[in-house]
Amino acid sequence: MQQATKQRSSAFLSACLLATCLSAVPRAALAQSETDIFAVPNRPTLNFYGSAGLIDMPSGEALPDGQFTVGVSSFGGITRNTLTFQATPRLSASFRYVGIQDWNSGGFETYRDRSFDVRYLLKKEGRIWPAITVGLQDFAGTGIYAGEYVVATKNFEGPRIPGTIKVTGGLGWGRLGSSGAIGSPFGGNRPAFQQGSTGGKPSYDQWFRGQAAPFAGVEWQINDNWGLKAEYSSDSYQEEAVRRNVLTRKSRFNFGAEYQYSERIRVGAYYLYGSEFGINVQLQLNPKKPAAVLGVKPTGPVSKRPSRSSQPQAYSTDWSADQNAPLSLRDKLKPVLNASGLTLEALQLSPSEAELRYRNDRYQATAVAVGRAARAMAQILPASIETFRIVTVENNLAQSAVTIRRSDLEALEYDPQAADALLAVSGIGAATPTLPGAVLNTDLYPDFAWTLGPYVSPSYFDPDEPVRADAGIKLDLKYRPAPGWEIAGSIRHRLIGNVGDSVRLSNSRLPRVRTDSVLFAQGSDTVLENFYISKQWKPGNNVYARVTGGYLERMYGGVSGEVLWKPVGSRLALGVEANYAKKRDFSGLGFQSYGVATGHASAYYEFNGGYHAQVDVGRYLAGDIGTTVTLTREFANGWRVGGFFTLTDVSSADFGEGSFDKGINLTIPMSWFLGTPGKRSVSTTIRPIQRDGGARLIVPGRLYEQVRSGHRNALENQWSRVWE
Amino acid sequence: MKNLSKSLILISSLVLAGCSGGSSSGQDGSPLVQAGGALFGSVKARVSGNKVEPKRTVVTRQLLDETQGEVMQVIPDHTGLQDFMFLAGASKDNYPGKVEVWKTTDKAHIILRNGVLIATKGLGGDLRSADAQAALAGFDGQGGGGERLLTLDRLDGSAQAVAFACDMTQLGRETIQIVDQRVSTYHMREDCVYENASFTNEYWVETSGGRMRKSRQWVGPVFGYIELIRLKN
Repeated sequence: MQQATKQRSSAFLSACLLATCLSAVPRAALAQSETDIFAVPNRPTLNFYGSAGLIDMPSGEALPDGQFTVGVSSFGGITRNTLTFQATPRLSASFRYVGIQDWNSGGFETYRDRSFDVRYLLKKEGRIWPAITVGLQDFAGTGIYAGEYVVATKNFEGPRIPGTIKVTGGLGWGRLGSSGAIGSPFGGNRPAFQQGSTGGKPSYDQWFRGQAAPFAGVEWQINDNWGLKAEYSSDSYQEEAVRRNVLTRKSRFNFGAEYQYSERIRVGAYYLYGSEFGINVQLQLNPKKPAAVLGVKPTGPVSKRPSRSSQPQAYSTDWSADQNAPLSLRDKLKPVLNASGLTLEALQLSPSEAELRYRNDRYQATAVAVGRAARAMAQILPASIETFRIVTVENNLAQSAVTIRRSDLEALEYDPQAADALLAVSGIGAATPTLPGAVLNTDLYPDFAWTLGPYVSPSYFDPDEPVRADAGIKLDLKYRPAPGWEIAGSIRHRLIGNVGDSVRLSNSRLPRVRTDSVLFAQGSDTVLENFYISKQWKPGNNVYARVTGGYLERMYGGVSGEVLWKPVGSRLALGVEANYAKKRDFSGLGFQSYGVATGHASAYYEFNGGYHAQVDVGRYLAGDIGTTVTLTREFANGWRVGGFFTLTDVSSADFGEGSFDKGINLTIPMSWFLGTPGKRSVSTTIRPIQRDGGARLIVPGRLYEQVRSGHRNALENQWSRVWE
Repeated sequence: MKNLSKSLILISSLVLAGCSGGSSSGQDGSPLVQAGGALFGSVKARVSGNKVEPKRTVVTRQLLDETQGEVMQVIPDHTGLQDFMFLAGASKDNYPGKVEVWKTTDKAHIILRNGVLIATKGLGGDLRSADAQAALAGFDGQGGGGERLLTLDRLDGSAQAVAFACDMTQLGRETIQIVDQRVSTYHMREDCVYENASFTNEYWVETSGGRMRKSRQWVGPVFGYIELIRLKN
């Protein structure tokens, strides 16, 4: 019976999360045209919870679209670290990690907890109306910060006073309704904070229930650098000040001064609750505004052919009679492509058409590579060739064929709308798996590459030591004997670190498929991270396939097969992956007895505005069956911020702390930092807690991301750069 | 904490040691190495603080005579640094005016149509493309104006086409000094507005022949204005 209730509640939860997220996505995408280049968005400052707000209270404004913030605040022994992402112009989400010193109860000296918030901007600020936001703070579980609010903020500017004054007023529930309550507008009872509950599930039954209390505040942004804040707080700090001796609360009023140190960094000092001093460091950045402006050194102008009427002989097709012509043209084209960071793979010529297959190792934007390839062809190929077919190949997977007429290329370079005009007359279609009759670049295989460099492997949220890390050196080896084949391995040697020092070993009731990480870290200093052989190819124009076998990741070895269907112009892709994985020994090359058949059917969909959804259904590492939903916002320059959750047939009790698997994905392209073109990026996944339910195998070289960068959506999103 | 500082020292020493080989590997090493390099660069820039003092070369007739081909001087407002550009190509297309591609010493391109800026490449925050027709039509000495469509790099991988409403004002004849030459020009001002954004270009066009000798033109919100002087034909 209890089992049934839990299943129902998790089904409700998934429906609810899907509904809120998906309903928010398309509406936002429709409502929002791209940000105007001249718009100077009002940028609210952050409160102690890392959300747009005053000091300890929230405000009614939303951050600028796409804003990514990190807030670190501390007062009275309470430190809050918060990541916030403004996922759509109206919807934002926060993840917080908090440490409360002198807790001294429930076996904790310092109490540490993770929490999630969501906020939705109901009404943008208008001439008369204030901005109005509804927020759920720590909405999953009976967390210590659980509270809800509706809050309004209005900006005032006038000739009498310098700067801007923001006036905020709101009504809070839960924690934010605990001091100075005016009654229970929506009635109901609210369960008290329960220390040590598994938590993790949205506690919709208590949202906006119980006592509500008003709060208010004023922020005066005096000039570009200095701001002052004052607020009336509706938080009684019941758990901290009344039940435990964490801090003393003598007043409802808080005051502070803030200084904008740089465009991205703001620091503040405060006096809170009549007894405590506090500080707040706010970092705000926007994926749309790179840390370094990307500058790509241009290639020369398009080489134009003489006009056919003045020099008809230039258009002769006699060259095609020469059997060596393709070889010599290939050899001339290769260095021109190389100068742009591109590698010729194959070239097929007819008197009037040419197809180039090339590899792009330099540009995150495939459109830049296509534009460069087209101009290289115009420079080298005989004048009679009018049609260029440009095929970007990613490790033996021909992504797409962009067809450009050479005369369009010549005519449109300096068109008032050069990029849009070229796109209008270019075709983006499917590429055949292989190109028969082409001259190949014979220098490509076998290919061997290696990289030696440092690595850092962090481990978060251990209650004893919130951040642990191992660091050392790592050697990556890659051997490609023939197109699509890859033998690769990665060896790392730990020089320093404390991940293995953790004394918190797995207490899981499930097979320990992921919770043995400490034992793996203790295993040995030198490890073979992975070592595998893989083959990938295209069985059809729109179908991609991969087979991989070996040590796939640190914890598992096995075999993996994947098939993906993704037409070039389609927003939808479907894939199937089947694996057999065996758990590796904690040290050495052997295997443990645990083995599992795991795999998923996946659907991927690209919405407008860079919103992506992925749904995976299948069997996970612990043998549990369920679904993973991933929602991601992707920016044209390659930044990706996403969230995911997995619900399986494992009950919350068996899953343990957190109730189900969830987390955040973050990918930042290196070119965003460096301002130089490159395809590399840094990625990380943050989970509030890693348990054994809903855990997936890590397989190197999954197909979707390899294929997508050359498909229509990705090409069109960055097509403005085609003439770079 | 002690471990952390130790590991930071370790990482920074490894940053210097990262390397790679082979034909298809990322030539620039691991992301961490790159990030370390970028961080180091920004810290260095922050510590050293002061900007490069703009040094100007005084252009003389002799210098010009010794230089092959055509030369254009460019000075971006935001750096104040002087550069000399060489003509990398010239062509005609279906639109009126001759297109010239000028190359800076750091290989960026400034592209002009009869002297009116229609694109930049490699500057960062580039003018992707632009319409010059309304400006060129205003050079007839009568003034005038019209819509000018500018496509501007947004820096996030996308671009925005902005239709500016422009007005050309004839400021009269003006004799300007270019090196040892006195050049008689028509001086014109172009005021362009789009919602709250605006820019003002200035042009000095030779009275005889209509060639643009000097101008101050807007690249976009990121790069700002550049001053162009055609030193040598």
